[in-house]
Amino acid sequence: MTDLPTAGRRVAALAFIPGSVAAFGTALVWASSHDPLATASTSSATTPSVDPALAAAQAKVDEAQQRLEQLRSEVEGQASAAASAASASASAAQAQAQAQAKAAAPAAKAPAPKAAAPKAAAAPAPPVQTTTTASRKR
Amino acid sequence: MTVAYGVELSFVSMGSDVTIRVVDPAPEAEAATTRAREAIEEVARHLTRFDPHSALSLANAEPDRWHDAPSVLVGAITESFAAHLLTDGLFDPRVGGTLEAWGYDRDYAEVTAGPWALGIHRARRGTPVERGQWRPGVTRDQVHLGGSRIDLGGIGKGLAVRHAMQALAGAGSSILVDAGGDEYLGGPGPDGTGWKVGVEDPLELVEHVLVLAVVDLAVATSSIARQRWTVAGVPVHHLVDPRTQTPGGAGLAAVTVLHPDPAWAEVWSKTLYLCGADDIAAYAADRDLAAAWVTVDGTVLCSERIRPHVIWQVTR
Repeated sequence: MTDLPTAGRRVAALAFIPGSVAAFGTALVWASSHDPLATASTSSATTPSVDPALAAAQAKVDEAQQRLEQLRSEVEGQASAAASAASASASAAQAQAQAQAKAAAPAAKAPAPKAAAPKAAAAPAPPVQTTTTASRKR
Repeated sequence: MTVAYGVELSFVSMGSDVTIRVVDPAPEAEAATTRAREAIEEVARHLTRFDPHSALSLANAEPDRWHDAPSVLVGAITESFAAHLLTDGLFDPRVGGTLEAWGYDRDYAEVTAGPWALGIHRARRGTPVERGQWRPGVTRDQVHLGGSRIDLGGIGKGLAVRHAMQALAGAGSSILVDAGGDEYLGGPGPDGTGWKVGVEDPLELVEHVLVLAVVDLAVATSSIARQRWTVAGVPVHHLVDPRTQTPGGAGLAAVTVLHPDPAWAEVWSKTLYLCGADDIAAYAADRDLAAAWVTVDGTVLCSERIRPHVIWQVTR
């Protein structure tokens, strides 16, 4: 399976292809119009003929763009799947920690608290049962 | 969160609010709670320096001779001497003289000249002073202060909580003893997943900077959030650096430590505070201490040892 960074790099690389192919095609057209051996033709001005090289370049551009779209979809799909997996994993770990803690007999030596992953950055503080403070003098 | 505790007792001692809670109380829980209160009050009675008739005050009056002493004072001096040695002198009960010179010779409520902005507490102050080794003496029922007046405020609450926790053994599935912010959390707590302990924000920007999950551990916080005042315009606080006899802990607003023993939680929190912002991380790592600290600019940092207990941390 392609990992996210690799796929990202491919997308970035492919993004250059349409531009470079187009530039190549433009150069080809310019060169053709300045070919000193070319035969002047009045009909070419009114009835454009399809240059095989330009058509091939255009086909490559279209193909590259399609591939680019494909890869973009793939990357978005992978990112979405990764986010879902992380969320499910955190929930499972939390559920496991709670289940283990509850399984301990109340009067028995309590287990060390399960290391819960710190919650998301902006999450509010969970409820507390007590607070450690600077010496609270009356 | 509202939790119904089987037994709950609140009273005032050592100049602080004290709370004892018992979850799923055993039949003898009430009696155990009473014994715990008596244990705390006994420590307070003998170790206070604000009562001229306390055992400590009597010894302080003549610190260069032997005194008959209750076991509470014998134990406190023994433990303090161990702390003095293990912290390489950073824990030093002799700083009581400096506090008295700064006007903290009465209950803090009577110490006037209001607080100063925490942000100015950044640079180390003072130069090393010659203080010599503290050499107290104890027998089974006598103490010798080694020639210096001492203050046991740096360990007294921890010892009180320790005695209370011992009195509460078997009283219920979980117990809490809170002596003015220094606490012991026994058992898995009311919901069975560990006591959820908030760590106060010394800058008072939010209520808590951390929430810890704690089972069978003490927690102590050393902070200058409250006890700081000025002497002739000079800002001071109650955590004196014995090396310089000046306010210690440059750059730090508060330090919280988790430790199996309440007295040592208090000792280590004060010792780490005196390290200051520059040295605390290395010292905590070297001693494998479970500690978290807040700098004067509000940054919250944790030692590796405390991370498994952190279930929430503020972002700012």
